[in-house]
Amino acid sequence: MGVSALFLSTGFVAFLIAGYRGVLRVRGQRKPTEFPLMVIAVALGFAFVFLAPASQAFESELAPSLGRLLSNVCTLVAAFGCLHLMLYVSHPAEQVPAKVRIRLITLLIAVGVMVVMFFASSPPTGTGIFTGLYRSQPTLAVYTLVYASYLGSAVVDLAALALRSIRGARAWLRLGMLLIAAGCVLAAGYLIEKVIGVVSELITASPAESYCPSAFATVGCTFAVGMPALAVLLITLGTTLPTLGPRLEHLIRGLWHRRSLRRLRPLWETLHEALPDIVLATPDPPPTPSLTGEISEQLYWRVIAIRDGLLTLQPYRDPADTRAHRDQADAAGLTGRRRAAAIEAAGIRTTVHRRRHDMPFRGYSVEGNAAAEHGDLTSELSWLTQVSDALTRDELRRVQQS
Amino acid sequence: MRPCFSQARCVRLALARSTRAEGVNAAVQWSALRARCHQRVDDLLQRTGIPYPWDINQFLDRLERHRGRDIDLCAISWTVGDSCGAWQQHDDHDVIAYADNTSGFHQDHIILHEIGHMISQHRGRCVLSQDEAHRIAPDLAPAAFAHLLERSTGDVEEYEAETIASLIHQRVRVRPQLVIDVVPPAAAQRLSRVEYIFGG
Repeated sequence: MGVSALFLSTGFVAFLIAGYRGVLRVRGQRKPTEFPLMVIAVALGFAFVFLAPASQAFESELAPSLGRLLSNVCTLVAAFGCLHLMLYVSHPAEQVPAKVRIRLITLLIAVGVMVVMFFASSPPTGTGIFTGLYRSQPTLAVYTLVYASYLGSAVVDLAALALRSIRGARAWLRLGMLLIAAGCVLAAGYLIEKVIGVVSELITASPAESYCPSAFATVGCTFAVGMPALAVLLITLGTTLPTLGPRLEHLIRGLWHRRSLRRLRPLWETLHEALPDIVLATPDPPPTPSLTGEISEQLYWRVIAIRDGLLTLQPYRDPADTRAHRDQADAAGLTGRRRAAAIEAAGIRTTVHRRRHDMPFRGYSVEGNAAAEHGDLTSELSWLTQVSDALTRDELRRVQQS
Repeated sequence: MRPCFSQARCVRLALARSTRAEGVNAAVQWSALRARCHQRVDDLLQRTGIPYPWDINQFLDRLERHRGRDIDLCAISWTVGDSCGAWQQHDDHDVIAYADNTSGFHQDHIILHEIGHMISQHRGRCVLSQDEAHRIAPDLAPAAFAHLLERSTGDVEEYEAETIASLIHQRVRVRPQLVIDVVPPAAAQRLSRVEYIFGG
């Protein structure tokens, strides 16, 4: 995989995530932690765009290896964003602004040292690889070691947070923490390899880095190019999934609820026609639902109204009718849930008829109506939609007529 | 054993809702009512949390601890003209009666409706005559029914209770991202902050 393509696409993903966070902010999510999360995503995005060999060719025309300096500074800004976030984990939100100042000062010092060391050196033109220069230009070694130290502290902090949170986290948050921890491991590998390489070159004069034609061309390239890119992808996805995942789930659930609402219509219309009072009248009814949340809410009200209706019809249920419906279901060859739904649907038709003609069952006994199952909305919907479908099919009436 | 309702009246199902809606103050806006209910539910659930997987009894246990009052559930079998849910407030505890001849999901809604009255501190009104009260609960003095609330009387309080029930019940479906019961309090606090930062 071309290094430019990998870096530019990683940067693009980071910008997408920053944009997503921006949309959340516009829509009213004003948590103080949104700012450092956006800083992390934007800074990482720029870090990879600046570092892509295609961009560096242009940047080097302004100053040799300028792309590497810009990229490294952006990476440290992202690391500062991580350290800023860590403060929100370990301290109450109101104490964070005061405590973040010292971390900001540390960042400015680190960046200041790096800039001074960079311009005090004679970095090469092209892609900003300092291979073979650390021993002859120790300023570049200081530059790299300061960079690795600051970034390393943020990676260790973030990894510790993620690893300690995995046990108590569930669902999307757990997946997010796992991705962050994995990203931190890769980032730590990249940093350790970098530090060892620089120190090794200082001591032995052997080149620390070599040019990588692709991200995973050699073990060295995997550490130097592939791992940081993957680390950034994993960390940014890990910080985003806990917010994005539930929203995707919500969206999918909304589609399912829209379909369920449509499927319930025959049952609803049958009951509503016979028992108009089951609709909850409101002082100022909400508009026609269009958003996912509104559809889910309407579905909830409808299920409750249907259950109210079925409860109201109970005194009109005659066990003799139910026995007859069972026989008809058997004659129709129905089995399992489809049989049960067909019997229930036929029972509803009969009780609605009895209710219309004010013919309650004289032998009705509340003890005879055991509490039904279906403890949650999912199982409730599964059953009621089957009954509604059975009302439409009306299979037992066909048996009756034949 | 504490006295329990044998039956209670359900005007919600016995009266025409559209008729009852006329009694509602037209100035009361649905959106304002919903905002009020959202606030109450947010305040409550922030203190009690929601058991996962959902269990109404566990939720009531949490509510009891939060309010410092016992809540007794009393299952009734609904018949025409009865209430499918009621809340009775005693000096030192509350009793919630609910219809048990319906689905578990519906039962939970009925109980949550009464909790809606409870957390909204609705006063309600007694809808039973002394004779009726004596008939359905002979062990209770008629005065004990002073705070009997019908599940649906058609006024704003009923809409509030119904809305609160639906809001709580819908939150039940949101999968929690934390299991803080398995970790020490300090770690639980840290985890809550992690969820606050990274969660939706």
